[in-house]
Amino acid sequence: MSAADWVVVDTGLRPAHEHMALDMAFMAACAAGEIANCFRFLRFEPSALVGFHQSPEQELNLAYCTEHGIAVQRRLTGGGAIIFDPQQLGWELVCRRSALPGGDMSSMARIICEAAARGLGHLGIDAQFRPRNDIEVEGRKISGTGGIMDGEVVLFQGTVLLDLDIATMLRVLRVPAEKLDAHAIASVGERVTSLRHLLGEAPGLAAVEDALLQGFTEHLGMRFVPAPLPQAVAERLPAALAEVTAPEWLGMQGRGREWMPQKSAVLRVPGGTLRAEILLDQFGNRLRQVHFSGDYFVQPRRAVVDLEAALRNIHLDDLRNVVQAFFVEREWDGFGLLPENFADVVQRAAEAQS
Amino acid sequence: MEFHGCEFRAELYYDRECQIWARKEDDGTLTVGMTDISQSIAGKILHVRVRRPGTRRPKGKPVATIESGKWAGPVPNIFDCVIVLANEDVLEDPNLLNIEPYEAWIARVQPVAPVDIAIKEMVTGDAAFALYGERCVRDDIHCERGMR
Repeated sequence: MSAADWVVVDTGLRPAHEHMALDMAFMAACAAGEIANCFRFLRFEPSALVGFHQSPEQELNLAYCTEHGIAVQRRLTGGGAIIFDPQQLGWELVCRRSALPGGDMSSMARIICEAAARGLGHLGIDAQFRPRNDIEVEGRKISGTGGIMDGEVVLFQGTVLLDLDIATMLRVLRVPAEKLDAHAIASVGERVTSLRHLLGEAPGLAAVEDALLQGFTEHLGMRFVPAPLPQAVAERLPAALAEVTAPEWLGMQGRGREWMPQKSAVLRVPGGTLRAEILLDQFGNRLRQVHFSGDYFVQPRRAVVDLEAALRNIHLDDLRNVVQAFFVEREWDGFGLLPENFADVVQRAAEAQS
Repeated sequence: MEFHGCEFRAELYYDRECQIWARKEDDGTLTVGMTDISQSIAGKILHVRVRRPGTRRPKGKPVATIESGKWAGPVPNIFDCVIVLANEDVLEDPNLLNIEPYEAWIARVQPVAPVDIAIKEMVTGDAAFALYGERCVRDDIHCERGMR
């Protein structure tokens, strides 16, 4: 095989702990130089996955997960909590850093996301990369991604939403919504989409996998050869399974929910009524999630969703600068609503009693 | 001193890829942190996790992990050591690693071997600066400091 050749391994539908262990085993085998560059497809039994540095208690409704048999696991990769069920397809690259174009980590993520978006375009949708690491269609997220770099080994993974049960997602993930009703579901529907929603029906898995691979071939010149699970990975799997099923793995970051309260505030201004629900990480004073609602009109509508994305994980001290920079960079009309109104309502929420 | 805008401090010890720095302390411990090169490649750092004090970390097992822009990654560890202390300021505000990478240390560790043996694979002074420059050229790295 030449450097452009990648093996494609479909590890199929499995419980979350097996996929996390496979990630570990693939990385270890790659670090040892015992496997070729690898593109893996994976699907999950119902599960909720937190990012590597996240606390399950802060990010998930653990009681609901237990009650409904939804497995909880920790990813090796960064980013936020997500839910998985068999209606989502996972894809990932495991390779040496030298197998990908150079540059810093954000440019590497961008190139991979652009390749995935190009592939999804073959399904007849207008998929685009959205900074920092998402793929969207007309402003709605259809694929989230995250990565880990350990020395020279890179694992970068993403999802494709063939279909999505928003009601369950809202019950599993801790989201800053006032209440979980039809309005909340509609609100998430403005931010997330799926292939079924876009195309009328979900395409077959094989079609989605082929489209993704085609995108990576066209964008990055990769050539793909199907392969079974490499022996070097299988050999490392038992030890990895022991690691991800040990309590220390999930519990490595177990900060309590009291450190990340949900807060809200309402602002009445000439442009309307603006409400902000936030999750504020008080360890470090960072906004983890912001959700705007209320009685106002903004054109284009996606400006509000994009602002919510821009405010994720920022330090509260940076709030006004981020909001100001966000609106300077784009054309929008708030019909009386001003940029500072968004900063004001978030600031009020942060200062409110939870 | 700097190369491609990447600050370099000649008195510190560096791994050969210039990803981390270490400083010898009077009590026999080592203070470790990320270089300006590493923080620039990583981008804005959102999370830092340091293993609990008292935890032994063999060579190759990271003392700490960081996360930036949905990328997680270990901070490389090149000596067998026991963690003594994490920098609480950095845990609370990881962005400090972008702003002042040589002041914002990550952890203090006690090497298992005598300190000079522990760092024998590290480089310092002019030899380190040569490697630092080579890395900047090889990977076309130009540093930018984070801003609050």
